[in-house]
Amino acid sequence: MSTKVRALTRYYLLDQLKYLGWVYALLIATFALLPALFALISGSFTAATLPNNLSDLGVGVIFWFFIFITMSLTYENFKLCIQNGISRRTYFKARVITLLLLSLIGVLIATIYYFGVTANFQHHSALKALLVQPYGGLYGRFFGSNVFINIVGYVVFTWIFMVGTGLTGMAIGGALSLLTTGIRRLVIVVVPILGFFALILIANISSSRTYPNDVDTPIEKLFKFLIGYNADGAAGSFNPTVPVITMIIGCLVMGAIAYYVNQKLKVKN
Amino acid sequence: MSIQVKAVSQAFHHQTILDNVSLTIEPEKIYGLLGRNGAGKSTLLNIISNRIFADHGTVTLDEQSMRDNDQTLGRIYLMSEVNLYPDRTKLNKLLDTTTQLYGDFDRPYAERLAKEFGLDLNARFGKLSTGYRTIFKLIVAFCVPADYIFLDEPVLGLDANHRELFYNELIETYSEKPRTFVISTHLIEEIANLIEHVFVLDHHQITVNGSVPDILERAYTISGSDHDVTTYTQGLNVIGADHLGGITAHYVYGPLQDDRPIPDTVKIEHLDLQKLFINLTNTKEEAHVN
Amino acid sequence: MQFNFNSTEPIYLQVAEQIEEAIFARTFSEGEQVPSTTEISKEFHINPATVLKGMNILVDANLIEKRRGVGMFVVPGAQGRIVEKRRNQFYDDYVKNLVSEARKLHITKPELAQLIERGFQAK
Repeated sequence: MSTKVRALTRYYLLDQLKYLGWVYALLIATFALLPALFALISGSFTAATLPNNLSDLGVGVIFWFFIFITMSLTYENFKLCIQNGISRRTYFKARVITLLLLSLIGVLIATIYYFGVTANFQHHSALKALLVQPYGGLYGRFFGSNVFINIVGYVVFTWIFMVGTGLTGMAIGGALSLLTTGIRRLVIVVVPILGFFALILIANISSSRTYPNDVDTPIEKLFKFLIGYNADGAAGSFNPTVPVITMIIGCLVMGAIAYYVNQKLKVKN
Repeated sequence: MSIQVKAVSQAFHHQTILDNVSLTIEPEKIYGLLGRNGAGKSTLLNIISNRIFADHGTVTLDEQSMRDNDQTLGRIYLMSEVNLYPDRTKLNKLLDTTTQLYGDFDRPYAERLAKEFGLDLNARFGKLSTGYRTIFKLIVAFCVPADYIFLDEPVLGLDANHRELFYNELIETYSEKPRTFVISTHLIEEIANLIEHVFVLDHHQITVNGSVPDILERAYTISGSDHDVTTYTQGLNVIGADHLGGITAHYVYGPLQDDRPIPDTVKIEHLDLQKLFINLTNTKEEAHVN
Repeated sequence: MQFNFNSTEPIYLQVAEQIEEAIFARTFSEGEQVPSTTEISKEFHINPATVLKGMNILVDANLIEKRRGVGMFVVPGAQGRIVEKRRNQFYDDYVKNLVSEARKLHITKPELAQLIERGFQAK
């Protein structure tokens, strides 16, 4: 790693961790302290109010939003870099390294919080807590009976997912910054609408069955393949290999797009 | 040892901004980059500092391409009208960041300059007035470890006292640590004696490129009665004219004809840089309009 | 030191002339330090290289000298040398013009001598 990549990575990591701290503080204030305060005023406050609120925070979901938004601020960060004699490639490298480290930190915090705080308050065992998670519901038993190993699997799986989210943010943020203001606004409005219609279309196609009920449509087959569906296994024992490979391919594609638009970044007057 | 701009062309929306521009910027010299609004000065500086990519041509520093290159980009600094610093960040923090990313930064000097200019380093960048934004960017420009410093409109929003202070500090820091400054400004009179070498960018091309004394040596005011002046300057490169009462002045850029007798009624003097610039960049516009 | 710069002569020559004038007028006396390149440069916003070029003319003329690490000093006898130089120029610069103008005005030689006498007395 060159000196500049290291210096820039260090800068970003510290900067992002600071913001993440603020986001968590805001999360606690909004969803735990404020409701507790209202409860206090309305007289429904009990000893369990605050711990209950605290145990229910969506730390992982918030982090998911955070990593997407912070990584989509491609142009804002680029400006400071080019002013300080940093090349686009160094900028890209530092951001990707930051994303990898920050995602791991974020996932670990969310995991520790979930299994350490939330699960405790809900009086769930580690296994139960894992299995009620979307990941656990599908793959929670894949690595056998050792809960810890399955939790590690969960961490790795979620980490890759967060990295993919961040790279998608980078690609979208970078691509949008290459457009002129007018076209950018148009894209921001039109693309979600098109996406919505596309979803309806897909739903229609997949629900209009021309196949007998016991035979899957091609889309159902594809979907089952992608999530690693296993007809014989019970819930929690699906195979995460295909989804992991799919996510990694997704990361590489998004990373390639993000790199491509990153190299085209330029200062706007 | 130099920055070489070779055959750089740039267009935005099919409109030419730079047309085949080539120039060399040498170490430890003070340059003036002059041009009227829209002549392409900022675009040229943006290309050199790799903020934008040229459509054609190359920029090198010591024979190394400056395209996406940490080694070369770390040796230059462009202070521009465009604000690239985040609004919500405090100046002290920005100095920290600059230190981290440039690798070296004269912090004591920056703090001394801030005090001299009356700039509060605890303020946020976005809260500063135009003048103080300029001052902050100038302070960074003076304190980064760059060999080539580009100052695009360095006195924008500065009052007379701050301008004086800026010129003094520029000379002070240049004398102590010689490095190249390229100054792009509209206030030509203020830098006329400060710059060693001048580039004039006019209608997307470099029309003047030379040392200031050499260029002024070739610039003349020929004044006297209309008839005599017109006769004398026939065939010379007349770049402009003024008339006041019966007196006519022709501005000539280029050699005079030595064998031509100078009538007693005609006076020949040298032009100053500002007047030369105005006349050089005026004529073409008139031709353009007609 | 008060500099009056005009725009028509190269700046480095003007720097040399102004310092020479100051030595001649004993604003800087012999053995005394003259302002540094940077000081002059800052005061008048002139490129330090230009100021140095002007100073070097005076160094070459043996009017000022560089003392390592200290600065530029007026050489002993500099004022006298400037007076000497200007005396030599006096004939070319003034007497020739005086006589040629006098001829145009039909002023005779004794008349001119008388006028010069009057000039001395008026003082």
